[in-house]
Amino acid sequence: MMSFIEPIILAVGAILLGALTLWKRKSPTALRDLPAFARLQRLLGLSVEDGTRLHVSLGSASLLDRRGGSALAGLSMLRHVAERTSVSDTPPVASAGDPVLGLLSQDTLQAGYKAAGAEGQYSQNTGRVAGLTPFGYAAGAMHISPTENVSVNILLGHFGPEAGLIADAAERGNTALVGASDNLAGQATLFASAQEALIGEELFAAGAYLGAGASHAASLTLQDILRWLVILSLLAGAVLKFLRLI
Amino acid sequence: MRVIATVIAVLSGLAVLAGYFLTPFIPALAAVQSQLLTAAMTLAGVAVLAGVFNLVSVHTEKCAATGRTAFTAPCLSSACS
Repeated sequence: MMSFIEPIILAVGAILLGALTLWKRKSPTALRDLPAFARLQRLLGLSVEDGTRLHVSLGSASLLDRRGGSALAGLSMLRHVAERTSVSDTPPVASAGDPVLGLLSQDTLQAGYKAAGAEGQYSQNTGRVAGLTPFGYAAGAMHISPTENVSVNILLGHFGPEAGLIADAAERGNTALVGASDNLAGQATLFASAQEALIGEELFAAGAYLGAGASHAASLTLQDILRWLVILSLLAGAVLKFLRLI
Repeated sequence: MRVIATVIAVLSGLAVLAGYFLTPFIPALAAVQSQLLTAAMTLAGVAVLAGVFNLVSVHTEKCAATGRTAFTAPCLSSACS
């Protein structure tokens, strides 16, 4: 029975996502205010005006396991940042703790520059692998902020407690830090050390808040629908158990 | 070219996903899934190699371009890896 439930959920989710995307294209959603994204939009503009650099840390998630979702959210943010700041004198720099993610960060940056019509300004060194283990990555990434004229650090991906090292380096360099992680220890660290931290699934809302497309807004609505389905299933299970029907 | 790469990635993903759910009905999917996963692991291995070269080249360039402090990052990163 279980083997049928999973594909049915996937199929219904995919159909709903498609339908919701078409609906969101016609009537955009009003999203609640998230201070982190409002501040991030302002910081993006300020960094272009200042001629300073943005550092997007994508974490050390592998795309081949379940942590890949947070890495994809980070890449979506990177694409937006690359498009918005391609006119700046100093291009944004992306660091990753996984080789596949590092290659994808280069590709994403290039695609962002191309979309902004500034493909000639793309430099391959702006997307880099900073380390191959979580702490090795943090050790490599924490030195980007003080040495490369960075004014804003964006940590979006899978980070554990090692995020504290990057946050500390950002704090010492007096640079802004916006952080989100899918790891509970990483979230706790970032909540305590970042100026603006995103909690829980807010990490996956980045695309919708930054205007990455209707599909991102639709994914938020789909998350809400699935969350309500889980709540209703739990309640139904509790009632059936209470009535001794299961 | 980008469209072709996207189509290949989507089709590969769908084939692997179908392999998880539809193998009892279409046994051939298991072999396809296995081949695709093997190819993915090989590609990931090549990506690790490319990542190591990227890691070394980035730190080497930083060491060459800036002063003594630039050595801290590669040393720390290597020690932790």
